[in-house]
Amino acid sequence: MTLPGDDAPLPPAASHLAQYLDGLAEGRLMFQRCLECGEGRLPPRVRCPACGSAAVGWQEASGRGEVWARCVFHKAYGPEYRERVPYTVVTVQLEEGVRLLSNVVGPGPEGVQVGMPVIARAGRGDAGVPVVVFHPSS
Amino acid sequence: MRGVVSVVGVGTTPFGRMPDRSADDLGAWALQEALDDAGLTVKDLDGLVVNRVSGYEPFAADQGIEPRWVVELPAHGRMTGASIQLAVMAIHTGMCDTVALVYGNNGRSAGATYGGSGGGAAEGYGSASRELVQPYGMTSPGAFYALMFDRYRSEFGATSDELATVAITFRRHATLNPAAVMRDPITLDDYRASRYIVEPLHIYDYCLINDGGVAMILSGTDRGRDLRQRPVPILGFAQQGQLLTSEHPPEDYWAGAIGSVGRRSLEMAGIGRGDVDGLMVYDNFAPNVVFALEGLGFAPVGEGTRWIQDGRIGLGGELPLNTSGGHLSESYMQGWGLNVEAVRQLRHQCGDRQIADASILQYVCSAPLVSSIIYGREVP
Repeated sequence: MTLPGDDAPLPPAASHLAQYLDGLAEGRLMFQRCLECGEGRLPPRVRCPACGSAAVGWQEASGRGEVWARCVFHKAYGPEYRERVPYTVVTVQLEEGVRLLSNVVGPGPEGVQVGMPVIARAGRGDAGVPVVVFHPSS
Repeated sequence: MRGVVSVVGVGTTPFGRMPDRSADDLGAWALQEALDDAGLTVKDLDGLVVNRVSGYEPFAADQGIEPRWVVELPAHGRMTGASIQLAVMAIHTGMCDTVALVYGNNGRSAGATYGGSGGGAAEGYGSASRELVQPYGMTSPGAFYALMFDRYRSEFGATSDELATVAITFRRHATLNPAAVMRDPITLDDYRASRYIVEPLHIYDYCLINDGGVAMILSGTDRGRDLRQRPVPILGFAQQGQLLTSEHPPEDYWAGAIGSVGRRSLEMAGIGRGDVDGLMVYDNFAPNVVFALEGLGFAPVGEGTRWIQDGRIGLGGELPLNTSGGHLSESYMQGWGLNVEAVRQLRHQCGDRQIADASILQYVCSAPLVSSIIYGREVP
């Protein structure tokens, strides 16, 4: 059966996030790079924020980066976080220039500071959810 | 468009905890206050903007309003400026003559926490998908500002003691406002001893969560001259999005967007920054006040937390801010209360907290969508 519009080009489904998460699950931290202007980006988006192009490629990150900003949750917003407080949430800047939100594993809150070098580890977390966390690197 | 439309009525409910009131009850109460303030009835309204009530249709039907123009915007504080701006444009284009803007918030009694994994716009911040924030515990909007302030202090050497001046000053203002929820003065020692919610932010850096309602009535300035209150003309306004990378703390602390909005607002108003007698700044979290001051150009970039010292942002200072106590101490009405405070200040109705001879006041909301509105005591 042919539906009306079947012959018309459709915009891509919003599968970019799924591709990113599949990469994490396989242990790879991938980010998007615009095929027009070369701008890197995370989280995945349909169009490049810099030039508006929808031509997108994926690149695997080296995993090296540094802490760009950090905060420490003392309040647990929900029972699933009660065991974790106080815990640190960071924005990491990868050496490729792309930023993402994550956690630094290992040091306690006082041991995580802006500018600290870190290295990524991607995979499935405790609940089976694809995640990428960072460890201190020296 | 400068000064063609005025605020002709404002109304507020008491603020606090009112468990027997729905958002619609609170919005309706505020609307009645605003109508009484203006000397109008619901049958004088032909435009309606609602925010955070159950919906435009049940609200209009309950209140006996049959609008020629109606719009409902999402209950994001950044939409407050947008709502007022839309209403001015609707009147200016002739779509309607007299608009009621109604906001009702029963967040305290409904148990709103602005965080957690329950979903909704308040869950995280920016536009990131749940899969990108929840596993990492990035579960509250305040944490976004905590990240911003952490980056800011490492970049510029700002301190928490300096930031404390925001909360301490607004609390002092609230002690002069009988309607404020939090009226006990706080000291720097109190601030230092207070608990962190998301470090580096203390509880005093966070807005309140309370119930309440706010309403504003806008009409043509000429029409307003025949009504009960002195009309407060809207002189200028602008908006600017910074949505494209809003899942990350902005490296310029939104200064580019805020600066653009500030310049365009002043240009429309035909005034300079030095003509502004005070600011009503969206203080969802204290660092946002600093970012707004820098973005608008009042404080040099990177100097904001030092600039606010020595009474500069208090009543009687060079640039009084949030004379009602703001979201930190008066009431969390998502910007609506701040706009009403600007109107009451310009009518010179603020008693002990009156800014002497206030003639121009500016509202600004810094967020991934920045907005600003400039109000005057008259059209200059």
